[in-house]
Amino acid sequence: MTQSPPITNAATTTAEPGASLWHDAWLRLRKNRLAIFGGAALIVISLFCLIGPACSPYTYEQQDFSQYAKAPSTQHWFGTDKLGRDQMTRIMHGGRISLGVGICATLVSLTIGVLYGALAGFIGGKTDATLMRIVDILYALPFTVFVILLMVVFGRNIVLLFAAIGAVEWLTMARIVRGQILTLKKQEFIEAAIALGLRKRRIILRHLIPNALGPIIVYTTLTIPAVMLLEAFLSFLGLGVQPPMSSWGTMIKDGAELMEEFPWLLVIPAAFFSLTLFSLNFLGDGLRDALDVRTSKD
Amino acid sequence: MKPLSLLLILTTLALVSGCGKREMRADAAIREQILLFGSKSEPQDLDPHVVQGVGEHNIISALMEGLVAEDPKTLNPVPGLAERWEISPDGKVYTFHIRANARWSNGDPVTADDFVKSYRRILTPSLGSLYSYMLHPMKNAKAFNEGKITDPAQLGVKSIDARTLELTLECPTSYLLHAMASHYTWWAVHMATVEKHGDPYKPGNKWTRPGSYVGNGPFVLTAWVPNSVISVRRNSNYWDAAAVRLNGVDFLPIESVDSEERSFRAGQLHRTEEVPNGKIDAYRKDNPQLLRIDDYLGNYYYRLNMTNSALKDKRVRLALNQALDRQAIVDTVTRGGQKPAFSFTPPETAGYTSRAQLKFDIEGAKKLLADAGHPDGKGLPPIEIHYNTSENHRAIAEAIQQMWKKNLGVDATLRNEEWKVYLDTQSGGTYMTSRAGWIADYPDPNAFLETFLSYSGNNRTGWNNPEFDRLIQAASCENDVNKRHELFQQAEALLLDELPLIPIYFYTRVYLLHPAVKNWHANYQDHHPFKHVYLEVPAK
Amino acid sequence: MFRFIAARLMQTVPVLFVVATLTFFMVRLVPGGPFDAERNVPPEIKRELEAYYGLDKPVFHQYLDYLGRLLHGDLGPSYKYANRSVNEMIAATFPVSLQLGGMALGLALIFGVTAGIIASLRPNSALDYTASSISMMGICLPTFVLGPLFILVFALNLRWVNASGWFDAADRILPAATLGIAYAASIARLTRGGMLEILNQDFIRTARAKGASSTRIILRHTLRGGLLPVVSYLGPAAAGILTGSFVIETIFQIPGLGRHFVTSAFNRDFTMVTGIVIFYAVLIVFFNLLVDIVQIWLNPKLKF
Repeated sequence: MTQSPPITNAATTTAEPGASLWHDAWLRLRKNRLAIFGGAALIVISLFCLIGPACSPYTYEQQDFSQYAKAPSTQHWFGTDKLGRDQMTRIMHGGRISLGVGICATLVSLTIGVLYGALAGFIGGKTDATLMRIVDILYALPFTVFVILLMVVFGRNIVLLFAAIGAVEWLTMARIVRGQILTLKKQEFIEAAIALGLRKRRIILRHLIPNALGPIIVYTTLTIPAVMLLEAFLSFLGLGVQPPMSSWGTMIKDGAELMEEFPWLLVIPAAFFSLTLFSLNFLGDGLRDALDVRTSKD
Repeated sequence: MKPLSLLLILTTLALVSGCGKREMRADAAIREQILLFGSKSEPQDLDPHVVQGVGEHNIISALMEGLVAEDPKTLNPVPGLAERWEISPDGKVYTFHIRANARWSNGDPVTADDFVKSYRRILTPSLGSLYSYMLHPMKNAKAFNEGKITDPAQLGVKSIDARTLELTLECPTSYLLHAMASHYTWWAVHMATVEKHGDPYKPGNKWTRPGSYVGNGPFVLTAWVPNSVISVRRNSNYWDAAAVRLNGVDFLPIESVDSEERSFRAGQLHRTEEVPNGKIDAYRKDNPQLLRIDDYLGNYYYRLNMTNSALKDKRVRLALNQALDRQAIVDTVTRGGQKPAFSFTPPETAGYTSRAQLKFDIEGAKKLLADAGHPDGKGLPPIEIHYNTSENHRAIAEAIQQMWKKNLGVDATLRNEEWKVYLDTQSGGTYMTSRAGWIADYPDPNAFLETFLSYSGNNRTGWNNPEFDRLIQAASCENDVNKRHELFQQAEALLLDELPLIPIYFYTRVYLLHPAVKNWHANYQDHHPFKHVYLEVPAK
Repeated sequence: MFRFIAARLMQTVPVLFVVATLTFFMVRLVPGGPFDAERNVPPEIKRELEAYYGLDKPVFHQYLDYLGRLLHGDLGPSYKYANRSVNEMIAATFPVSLQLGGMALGLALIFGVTAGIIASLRPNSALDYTASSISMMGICLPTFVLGPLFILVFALNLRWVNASGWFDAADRILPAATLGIAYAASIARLTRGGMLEILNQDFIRTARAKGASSTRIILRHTLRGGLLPVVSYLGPAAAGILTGSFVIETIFQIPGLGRHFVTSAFNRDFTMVTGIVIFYAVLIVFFNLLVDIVQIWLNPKLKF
């Protein structure tokens, strides 16, 4: 079984290969209708969350006890919650938090996980063993206790939220990337690059990681929902969104147990959550295909 | 829309196919006379001298009985293991006569000496009993419990003969019989069994396992699978075994209130511990025969930190209190028939109702706040509301936050913490206002008011009033009921005038009960002695 | 290979040591102790309890005591459940989680890998979109939504199974399905992605162009490389899934290790938390070792 180098010109190109790579990718992405739909949907949802509250006649905290858990109506398009608050406004505010956390915390875990995994996989040997045993240790540590401790030391703030989420979510990413790199490293084009004496940093960033992008993107799209839901758990511990504000995660969590009585309290936040995830996924798949040089030959 | 449409499709399928032939566990259990009892949490232990919880009470009360028992309707003391008793005129000496046929589940007779040894055991400091202070009305019990005296013979308990026990108290204690009937700390353990399974005066004794457990109540322990089920079955050696109608009780520790409610609906329980707040209305409307709402001897309140500079001013505290629409909170937020609390002690607690009453008066509140130099809340720092994470506490805090904002112009922030962190913050006094709940151990104003003694570990507000302390101490040694109540009236008036707390509502117990459960009576402590309860197939 | 495994087992010792040490100190630094309660515990009594459990000694002294007992395999007594030991509670709860997790993992692998392969065979076809959308739904419906939904339908409406508990064989179905679906969805996504990577490589295209039937290609060439990301993911996932899910075990009232662990952390049951974490670390190390072995087997170019 012989494998030809996936990115054949990678080892020899010198003049800004990145620019053309991204440009080509964009051209290919544009042709993928689902990906464009995903991207557009994301933009619409983001605008809805960012601009929406300014257009809403209600605020997220304004209570009206006479409007206890009312189903969607012309007055409250998404209904009201158990304190008589307008759910649409709460969804908008919640979306800011969930999207913000989802994207930022995922970026944190993505950066750490990919670099760490790539480094461990590329260097190998004792360094790899040490780095991966550290990952094992971090996996094992009790997360609840860890978060409470973080809050004691640093107080509750938004940076800590990302730190806490980043601290757990990058571990699996690191393992996946390492697994991919270990395989890629043995392929001829990388061995050639090493033989050519290219700098390690360059090999990792320019050749190894781009070739592992597929699993990275797939796992990233899995990380985003995990992060959004983890935020709901963290707010249980007192970190994360503080009432009367809520996030999609906390709304879904609260709504889950009310699905019989007040289904709109689950269905609507869950619909936004799902729509966002589907869009992200379409976009992710499109990106993956677009960035995969091999598909361009079709 | 996925969950809903999926649900609809599947529900339709279910209706069309007309399933539901499987017999429910609850129905089979009615025939077997086994009560299926949702008991919330895994018990810490089943040793009455070690535990500290309501869930534990339910299980232990099936396995043990006190000298005095409870009337199932009124909870008034009725003869238990003791067939009768005498009280000396000064109210300080109680003499109990134990039944000739009172036996342990292994057949041994129950003797006065069992109680002497048991009381010595629970008061021995090294046992580390969390609830041993319940016995402190007994002469020298506190000193012995705190290690100040070491000779157990000095304790106010002795056996006159095998079947006669004499208790001597520090002060006349009018609620003593109630406490002895309802509180497991006053019940005896079979010392020979305890000694067989480890050091009886240290924690961690393993005598409470099925097969080892020796009790003197209507049932014996037959199974204990952690986090899953605890089974008790009929005790043929119980003195009143003929009167017991249930064959047993299965206690199912279901932590999640939602899971518990679903289990009830799936026919796996006869009684739940709670009802999810969002489902109360639906039950009230569609299945009122299943929903039980009983008054409960407890107060849901906010502690105010008296050392906080903003709250030091009494007018600010009064204003925060008067701006709360408690009726709206219980009607809209809690929805479980709770009663707005305008005093700390619930009305009609052992015949006592506080004369002093707080009020809801927004205009008055605004004026108080302006007098304190904060018109419309100006210059007042945001009031932080501290609570342990729970949907109900959060909703109440959110409502109160809005009321303060709307009615007073005062800003409030919310701070939730996980349970043990919350307790740590509260006892460390690093909060501004903090949610609290107090459930009385026995029906008496003292059970509420003593928590605000300056030296009480349950105070946690930094409030310290020597006059209040004096009144409560005087009341605790007063034998005349009217005089005693008068002392409590003065103390409570003082407490509500100074206001180191904001009472919000008096608790109710909201739970589901299968219609087959009979002889189950609403009462203010939610005690339902199992020897009286039975199951009967409801008439169709 | 033997040397590789032996070396890895040697590495386990420092890992466990570090995990035990960090956890031991972490649980003690967190606010709140095992004997704090809403009803105040008199200080005299608290002192006695702390003395009994050795919590009155300097922390470092406690730590040495703990390590000493750990060497003998004794994880200590529970502080919360007065008459139980940590070893006993793990022995009582782990088999339950193992059984549940094993079933869920089996389901997740069968359905996840199958769906992933189907989707990758005809990328961007209707079949791909169907398979991908179903697996996306599994991701969008978190277990705390799916669990109650299943109970509503199958326990409360259809009355086929119980709503909670772990008594009959039928009690295993819903929780295993709920847990399995959550993981199946992720596995399907990872399989599809991994397979596409390989399918797009030139040697597969060449083979296809030469007219090799697609089934043979998949089986012979692509599965090995395509499953790599799934295998990497599975190491920690398997350890997590087999030690129990707090959410699932709470919703379905299952007496497993996952729920017990989280409850213990909330109870500040120091020994219980530390003990379970050490136990969990052993499993993590074991599964990651297993994964590394499988990875090497999948990729003959790697050497032990």
